[in-house]
Amino acid sequence: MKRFNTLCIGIAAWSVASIQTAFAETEAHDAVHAVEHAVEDMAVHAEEAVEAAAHAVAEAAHHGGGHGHEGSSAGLPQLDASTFPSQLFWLCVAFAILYFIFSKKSLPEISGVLENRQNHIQSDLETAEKLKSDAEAAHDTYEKGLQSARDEAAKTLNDVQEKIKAKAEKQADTFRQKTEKEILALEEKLFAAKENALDDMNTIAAEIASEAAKKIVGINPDIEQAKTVVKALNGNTKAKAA
Amino acid sequence: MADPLHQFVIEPIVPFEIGGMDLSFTNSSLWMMIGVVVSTGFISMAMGKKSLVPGRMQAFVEIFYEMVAGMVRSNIGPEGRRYFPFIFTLFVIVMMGNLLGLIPYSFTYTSHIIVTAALALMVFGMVLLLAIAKHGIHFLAHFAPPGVPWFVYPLLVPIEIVSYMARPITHGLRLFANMMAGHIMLKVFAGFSVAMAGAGALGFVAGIIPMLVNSGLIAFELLIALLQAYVFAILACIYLKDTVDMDH
Repeated sequence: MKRFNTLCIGIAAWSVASIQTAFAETEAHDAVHAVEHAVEDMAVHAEEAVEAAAHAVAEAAHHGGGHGHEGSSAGLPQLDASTFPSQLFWLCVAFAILYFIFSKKSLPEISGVLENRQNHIQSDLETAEKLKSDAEAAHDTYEKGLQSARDEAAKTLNDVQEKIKAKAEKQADTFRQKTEKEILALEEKLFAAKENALDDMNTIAAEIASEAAKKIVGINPDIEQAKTVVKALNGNTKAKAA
Repeated sequence: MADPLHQFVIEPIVPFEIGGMDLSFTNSSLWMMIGVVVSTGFISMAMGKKSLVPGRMQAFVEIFYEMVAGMVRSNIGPEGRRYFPFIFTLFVIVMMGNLLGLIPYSFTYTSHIIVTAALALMVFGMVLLLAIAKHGIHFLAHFAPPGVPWFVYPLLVPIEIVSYMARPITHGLRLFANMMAGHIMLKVFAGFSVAMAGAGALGFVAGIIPMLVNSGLIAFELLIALLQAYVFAILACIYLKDTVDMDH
């Protein structure tokens, strides 16, 4: 544990040291002091840490931060020009491989899939459109058929109604004529019967009158004469009633 | 290990020289190759089934593809299709470097200025050559934008030239600085934790604080890794656009 602690403190010291080398002097100093204070407050091994930090700072100042390759002035590995050819070479290799694979395989593949899907959707939409127009046409035909059937039905109904009406009228006409004729005949008959009855009544009246005259007065009047008298009297009452 | 700069040291794994040049296979080369294998392997595995209804991995690759394609399309225009594989490769190689670098004990090859500068100069050189090939001597008109009074030109042209020349520098430096600063920061906070833990029971408990900070930093670095790859690729698009259509 003790060794681990020292290692960790060493690690911290290294980071502190490298901050100092990497950044401008005053700012880095402030950072170092801040870290030192924080460590001091919280740690039992504060003095050790400060010592280690101071030691590391001194060491870092000597080393200049260079670790792997030599020849970097600021201690930044990025400025080590000896690694440039290798990085450039491998970057070119990586870029060339990626470009080749992407432009020859991956990208056409993806665009092919996307296009295929687009076409599929397009054709599906077209089919849907066609089906819709088909359905609409069918609906139209149905509507038209329904309309014509309705028209025909109405026409037939009308025809039948008219036919029935005409027939009924005709029958009513014949019936009326027939009945009128019958009524006329009956009326004539009735009139004749009435005339007859009236005549009979006159005869009866004349007979009664002559009989009465024979019995009351003792004369035997001519029956024909009595009839004329009754008729005349009847004519008088008729005129009066009128 | 505790030196926050030690993580950037190039260590040869298979040393060899060609023509007097040290082209050793190093830890940097190793992680470049891991990046190549991981990215191509992931894509081929995800696109293996080529299903009409994509699974998770295929959807991920397709969304990534669409994102880069959309970036190229919106920044360069329809002519950008020709440069799409280039931008895609650039994006992937930078993203792989940034992301793989976040794995403990790995190496971040994009934290080396020679790598980022080489990528930036590749974009710059490509843009320059394309511009000359496309527009000939007329490409110099880029430095004299129209629509300004004549007496501004003596001032404007040098500024334009300087800003043009500064492109590869800022392009490469941005990525390098972001990656290096982030990784130093992670290492320093980790160092704090270790130092405190070594300083007794109280320090051990207090050492959790820098560790928590480091956890947050890892998340932040993940964002930076993706963001910087995106920025690197989108800047390449913007520079390419300048050559593809020079409107003056």
